Amino acid sequence: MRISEIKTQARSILSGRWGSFFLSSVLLMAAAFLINHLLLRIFFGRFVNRVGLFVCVGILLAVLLLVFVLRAGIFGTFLKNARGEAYTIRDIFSVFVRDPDKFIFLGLIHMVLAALSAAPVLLFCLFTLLENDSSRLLFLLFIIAGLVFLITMQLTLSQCVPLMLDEGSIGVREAVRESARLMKGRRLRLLGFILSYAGWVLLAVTSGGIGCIWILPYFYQAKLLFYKDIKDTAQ
Amino acid sequence: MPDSPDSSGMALSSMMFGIASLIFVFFGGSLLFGSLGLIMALLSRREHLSKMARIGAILSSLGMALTVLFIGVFMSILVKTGTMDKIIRDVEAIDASSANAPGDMVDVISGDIKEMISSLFPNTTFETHGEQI
Repeated sequence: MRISEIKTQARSILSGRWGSFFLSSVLLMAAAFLINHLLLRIFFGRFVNRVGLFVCVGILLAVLLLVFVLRAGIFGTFLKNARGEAYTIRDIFSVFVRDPDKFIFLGLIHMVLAALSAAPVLLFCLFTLLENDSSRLLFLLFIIAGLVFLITMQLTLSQCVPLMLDEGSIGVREAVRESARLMKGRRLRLLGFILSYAGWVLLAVTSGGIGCIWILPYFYQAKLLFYKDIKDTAQ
Repeated sequence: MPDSPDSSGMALSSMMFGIASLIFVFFGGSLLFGSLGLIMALLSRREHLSKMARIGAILSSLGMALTVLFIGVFMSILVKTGTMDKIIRDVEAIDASSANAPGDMVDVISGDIKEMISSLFPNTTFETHGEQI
C-alpha cells in the first residue's frame, strides 16, 4: 500500500470518531508540555546546588517512562479502532494494569539508545574542555553521527509497541527481534512516512497547538495502519 | 463516494474558519483560524476535496498569507525607523543584567568537571574568556 493510501484509509477510519480521541490528544499534549517544561528547567533553571539538578533530571526520566507507557495505551485504542472493536477511556490506561513492566523495559531500552547516541558529543565536550580547543566541524560531525545512529535505532524498534499490543504474549526480546525483521529494508519508507507529516507539524505550531487535537489521532492511526501493512506484506 | 456527515461537517468548519481568518487579519488571530481551517479542509478529504472544503482551504490560505505579508511589512517598518535596533538593545541589556547568575546546569556541570580534572591533573589550567584561572 502506498503512503497516500494509508493516510486516506486512516482518515476514513477516523471519520465520525474524532471526538473519541480528544482525551488521548489532550493527554499527549499535556505530556509534551510537561517534558518541555522540565527540559527548560534543567537547561535554563537556577539551581542552588547539584541535588536540585539531579532531582529534576530524575523526575524527567520518570515522566519520560510514564509517557512511554501511556503512549502504548493510546496506541492500543487506535489498534482497537482499526479492528472495528469498541474501546473505552479505561483502555488508554490499560497498559499500566496489564504488563507495565514490559513497556517500562522497552522505554528503558529507548533511553539507553538515546544516551548512547549522545555519548560521543558529551565525550567530545569533555575532550575540548581538557584541550581548550573547540573544533566546530568535528563537533558537528559527532552530532550528525549520533543523530543518524539514534534515528536508525528508533526506526528499527518502531514496531515493538504495536507488536506487543497486537500479540499480547510476546516478550520484549521477541518484539525487538520481530520489529528489526519487519523494518529490514523498510526504514526509509517509514522515515518518508514520518517526514510527510512535516507540513502538519507546521500547521500544529501555527494553530498554537490546538490543531494537535486532530493531527495526533491522524498520525497515530496512520502509523498503526503502516504497521499492519508491513506485517501483512511480510507474511 | 459520497461524503460522510462528519466529512461535510469538517468541510463546513473549514469554510467558517477560513472566513474567520480573513476577518481577523486586521485584529490578530488570523494565523490560528487559518491553520485550523486548513487542517479541517485537508482532513475532510477522501479521494478529492469537496467544493466547500476547497473554498475553506483557499480562504484559510489567503488569510494566512495576508497575515504573513502584514507581519513582513510591519517588521520592515520597524527596521527602517530604527525601532528594531532599540528593541534589540533593550533585550540585550535585560540579558546582560540577568547573566552571570550562578546555578545554570552548564555552571554546575562544568564546575564539577573542572573539579574532577583538577583532582586528576593538579597542574591543569582553564581559560575563561581569555583569563587563566
